[in-house]
Amino acid sequence: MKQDSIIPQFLNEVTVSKKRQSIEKSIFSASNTTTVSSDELLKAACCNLSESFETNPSIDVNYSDGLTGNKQIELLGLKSPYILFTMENIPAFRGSNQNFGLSFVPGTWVESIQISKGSGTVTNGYESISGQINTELIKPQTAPSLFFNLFRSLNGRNEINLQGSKKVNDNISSSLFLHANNRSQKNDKNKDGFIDFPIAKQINLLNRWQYLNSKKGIVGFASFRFLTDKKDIGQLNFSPNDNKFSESIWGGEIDTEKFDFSIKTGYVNPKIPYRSFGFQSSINYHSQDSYFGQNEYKINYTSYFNHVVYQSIIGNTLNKFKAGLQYMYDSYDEQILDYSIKRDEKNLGLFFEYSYDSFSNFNFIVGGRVDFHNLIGTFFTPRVHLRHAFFDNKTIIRLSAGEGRRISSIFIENQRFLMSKRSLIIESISSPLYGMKPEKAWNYGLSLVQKVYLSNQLIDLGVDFYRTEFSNRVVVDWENPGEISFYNLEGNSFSENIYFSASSSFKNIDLRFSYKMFDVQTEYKSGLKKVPLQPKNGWFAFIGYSSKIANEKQWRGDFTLRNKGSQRLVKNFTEESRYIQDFMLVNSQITRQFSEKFSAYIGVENITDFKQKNAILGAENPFNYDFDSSQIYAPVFGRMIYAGLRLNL
Amino acid sequence: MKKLILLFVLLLSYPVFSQSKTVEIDVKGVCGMCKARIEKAALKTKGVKYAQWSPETQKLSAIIDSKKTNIRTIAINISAVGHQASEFPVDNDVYNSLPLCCQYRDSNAKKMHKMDMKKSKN
Repeated sequence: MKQDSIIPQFLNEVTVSKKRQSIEKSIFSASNTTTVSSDELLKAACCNLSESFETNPSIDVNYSDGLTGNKQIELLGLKSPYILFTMENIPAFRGSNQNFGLSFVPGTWVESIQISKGSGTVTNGYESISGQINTELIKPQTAPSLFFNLFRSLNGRNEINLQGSKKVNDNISSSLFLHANNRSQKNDKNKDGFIDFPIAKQINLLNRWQYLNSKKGIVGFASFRFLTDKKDIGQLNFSPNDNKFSESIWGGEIDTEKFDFSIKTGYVNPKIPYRSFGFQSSINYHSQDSYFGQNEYKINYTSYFNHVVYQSIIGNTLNKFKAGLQYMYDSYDEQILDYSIKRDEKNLGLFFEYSYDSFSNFNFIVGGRVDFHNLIGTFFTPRVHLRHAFFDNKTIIRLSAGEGRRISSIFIENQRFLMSKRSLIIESISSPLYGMKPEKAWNYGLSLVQKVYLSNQLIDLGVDFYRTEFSNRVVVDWENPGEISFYNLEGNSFSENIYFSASSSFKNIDLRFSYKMFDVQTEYKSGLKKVPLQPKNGWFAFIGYSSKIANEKQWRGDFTLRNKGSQRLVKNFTEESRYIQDFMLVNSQITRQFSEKFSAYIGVENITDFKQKNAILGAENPFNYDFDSSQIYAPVFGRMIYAGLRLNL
Repeated sequence: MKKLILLFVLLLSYPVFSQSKTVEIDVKGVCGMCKARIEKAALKTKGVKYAQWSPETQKLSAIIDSKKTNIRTIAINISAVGHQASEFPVDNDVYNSLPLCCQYRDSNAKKMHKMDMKKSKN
């Protein structure tokens, strides 16, 4: 049950006489939404949600630091904390999950991803600023009864996925998903004395139950999820047992445990199909126990989420509304360096969203919500999306505007500074919210989609312009070598993004191209500056091929080029702040489907073997004042070759 | 805050009080484009809350407020946009202005549509 589907119901039955694209821009929804299907996810064969965006033109993927191999994604020039993630429409990867959360969802669990640029809907919360990304997992009702996947990369990463599903009776089905990965091999391809990727172990379990009774119009899910993840980082000769907190060998451990439970129910009276009722509830527990050299960081995080939504019409189905309430409780218990910090957040939100659809060329959504938050106070969040189509949907114009707010968990989001000798500068760490104001921003967007026929060949062209403007922001200042400071914004902070895209598919070939320009600036104590590690521009090209299926056999292959434009590096002890040259990353993958049940794939990431030089500053002596592994703009590890197989019974 | 919650509850319970009835009308048409036109014409009729037309059964199913409208009014409104509903005739000029794929009297339009459906299944 997709609660937020704002596509008119009649669309479900429209006959589409062309094969669907695996990344599809929506034509009819008022928001600028792209759906990524499971076919597309197969192209990024490896391995988890944080790596599922490599073939996606609108999302940028960055490394968060030089030691953990962790990837962070970015939309409209803003990093993942400014994106609202949801998992089946329940807010996810919040709080302490912010940093590593995406890497805790195996790619094989994912059914589809919906990416919405701009302010998003009020029905999921007030937090989204640059966009919203929803992930749908494979449903027990439609999952294959047995799925098996093995993956191995030459740098020693092993992954295994075992997924079983069973129909218990006509109404109830259940899935059990098991994921395990490990890396035991130490690599140091850039010869800096530090392992390029952590030694890692993960076990990840998901048990889901689905109840579906279409006669009565009831659908329900219950999900249990357990994760344990362990990473060792640091110098080649570091051993956690012997060298914890050592003063001569630098290393660290990150141990994560996670437990989630959620239920969802939806009810539609089959006689009144336009009226529905939904209820969602989830409890999450997450703990991270870690140290980086001599810097300790621990967090226990519990969150509780409740959401009720009622959907109906005003007069007729051209006028729909959603109304509901949401209760959230987040409890943080952090221990960082010598500080112990606790914070409880409680929030009750009431939301109302009205949508009008002319059933032909015009629709809009207007939404608002009132939140009563124990630390932010009472506030109103307005959001609006508007779509107008011209010339039989060949030209579509969309406008959006909306406000978002969030509380920045500064240490979770910036824990990479602990992997350096930077000293922490913050005025009143023990006052509520570390002495920081809640962040507040407006996002405005304009987008245009144009379908062009060139001798009967359809080409999709698009132009987007988005601007995000902060009125409050926690400024993270890396500008002084040896220091990191956090303070409230005084002055301007904004992100502007222009995006051009073109895509087409003819016969067996898919082509995608995009070009992006960014202007992302913030007022630091030292003046208004471009935000570091943010490319000024970049382009992306993708070519995919799939042969005709003959006797269930098929070849599929793709090739992705990603150019990252010049980025600003902050000043360090030996160099002034400077701009680095643009560079390019190339990925490719080939899949052979032997039958509908069995396929195998090989691929290469970073074919040109591009690596950041001196990724870890002061790597020769990590106990010296100039040690810093937080300033990463390119891969640390070079070329990566992998292979895998999929069995689908 | 209490007032707000009360307002909310009122808002949620409002639609429960109106009277609803499900009706079915024979409507001629071909494809998805026709479907949008037919359903829109039905929904523009005051008192029609929900309308769904199926190209397979050539029937429109609608949920209406029986105090505000009736089958006859809806059928007249649908015929007025070019799709014959029940026995109500369609003006020839209106019919001819329909896109070719929606001209249900022409057996070629239907054939073309069926071919499209077959292609999409492959």
